[in-house]
Amino acid sequence: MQFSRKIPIAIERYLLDFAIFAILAALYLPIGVYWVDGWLKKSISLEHEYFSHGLIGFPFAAYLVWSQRDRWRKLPDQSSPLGAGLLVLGFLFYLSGLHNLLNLSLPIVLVGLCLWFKGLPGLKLQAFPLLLVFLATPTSMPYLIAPYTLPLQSFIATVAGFILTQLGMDVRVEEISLFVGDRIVEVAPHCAGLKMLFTTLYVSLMLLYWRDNLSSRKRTFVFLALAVTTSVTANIIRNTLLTFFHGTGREFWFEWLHEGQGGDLYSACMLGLLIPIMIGVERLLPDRPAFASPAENTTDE
Amino acid sequence: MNSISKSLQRFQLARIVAFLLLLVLLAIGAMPGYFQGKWPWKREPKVQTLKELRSLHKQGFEITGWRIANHESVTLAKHKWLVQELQPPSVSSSAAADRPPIVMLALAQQNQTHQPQVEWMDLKGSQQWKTDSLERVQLTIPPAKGISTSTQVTAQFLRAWNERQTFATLQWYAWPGGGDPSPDRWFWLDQAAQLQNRRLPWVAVSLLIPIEPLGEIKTVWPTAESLAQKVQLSLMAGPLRSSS
Repeated sequence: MQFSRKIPIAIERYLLDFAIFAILAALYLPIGVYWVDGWLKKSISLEHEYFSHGLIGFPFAAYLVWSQRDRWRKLPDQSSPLGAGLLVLGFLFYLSGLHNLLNLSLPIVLVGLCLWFKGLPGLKLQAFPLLLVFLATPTSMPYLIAPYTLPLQSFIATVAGFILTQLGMDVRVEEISLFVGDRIVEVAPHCAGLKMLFTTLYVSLMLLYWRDNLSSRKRTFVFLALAVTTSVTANIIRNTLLTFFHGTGREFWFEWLHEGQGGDLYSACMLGLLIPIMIGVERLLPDRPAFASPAENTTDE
Repeated sequence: MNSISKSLQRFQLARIVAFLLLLVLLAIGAMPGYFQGKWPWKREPKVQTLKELRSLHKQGFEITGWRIANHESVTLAKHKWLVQELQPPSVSSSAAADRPPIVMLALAQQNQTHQPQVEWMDLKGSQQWKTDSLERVQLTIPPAKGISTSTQVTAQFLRAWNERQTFATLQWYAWPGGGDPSPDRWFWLDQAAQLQNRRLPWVAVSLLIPIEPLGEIKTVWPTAESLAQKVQLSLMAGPLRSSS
């Protein structure tokens, strides 16, 4: 008697789960295809390209959710009303017709579903993949922060100008512009390496999670600080080279480094550097000896 | 046992609610995309006056009460700006020849996705200006022909100079019914407009009024204010007329 009741319920449950998943896919796959196409072809907008780390972030997030599916299933079912609220908000955002809101509806709906199905413990379990999804959801945020990057731009211009002067070039720096003879190189907001900085931070976050270092505040902080420093330094070198190529009329090399393969090579080297930095940080700040309590609040000194 | 089956039922209810909500969303939100290709990102409202905005740098535009002595199109930071030399008609041409003319630079939106960004920096860099005395100023433009309500514009007023000339400079992004020097303001108003299926076209305007080398900009404020009001009105009667 009991058996015959249980089985239909189980089938029904998985059928519903599957249906919800299928509808989610139908809702968001076309948008995902549009995003990926835009990242690969750089065809949507400069702002969209800032989120191209989603190309690795989304698959990684999906993998993480899949790998902890058993833990998800074991969580007790409970519905947080906040989840319902977020689902309705995501619903309205999807229909708003605004790109920003449409895109943001993806993380909102996902967070809403977590809270609606498993309450706060469900959200906690999926927190990291959800963070990866949110940080790779294209919005106009890069546009809005661009006016505030002036200090970084002028810092990069000043240091690049200083290096080139040391190398014997006649360079004058005015705020964010480098004058070499009659040529001007402007360190625009997008040239200030903001995109690279975002990608670096995103990949750093993934590395920290993967190496299980996020629980150590010290390691996280030191690693992120080093990653940011490296990114800014690399960008100064890049802008110095760009000014050098442009100022000396080496247009081919300028284009190569600015938008061609040189730019991609530069990005790859920069991201590759993160791995030795991570290993270095792990050596520098070793784990507590095995016999100590592994609880995270014992690491402060 | 009873409470378990109850909670199971409640949980099923949660799933059914989520399922139905998403199903409705699919029906009204995504089906037009699947069947008619009308994806939300293709349905973005368009700027209606784009053609006029695009040709602004070639055509120039009339400013009531001012004579355009000369206009040309100049490329600054990869964009085509309109440069107009302006003279108040009351001044005789011989007297006007003595002093450098007032110059208006304007960059109009060039395509549907063109957003205001760092125009003031571009201008400053290209002219190799040094700047100071920056302040935000409010302009109130009384109703005029075809515009029923008064228009509020915020602008930035500053002193800009290079080796050749010192200017009192008044800058703002003009749009239908207002203006502000910061692109953020435009962005949020444009988002609000998109919710009503409209867009907010824009023109970056920079007025350059020559003053004595390192002179006080306050002395030419009345001229700047009245000229700015006329410019905003001319734009709002032309390429920045509100579309409804």
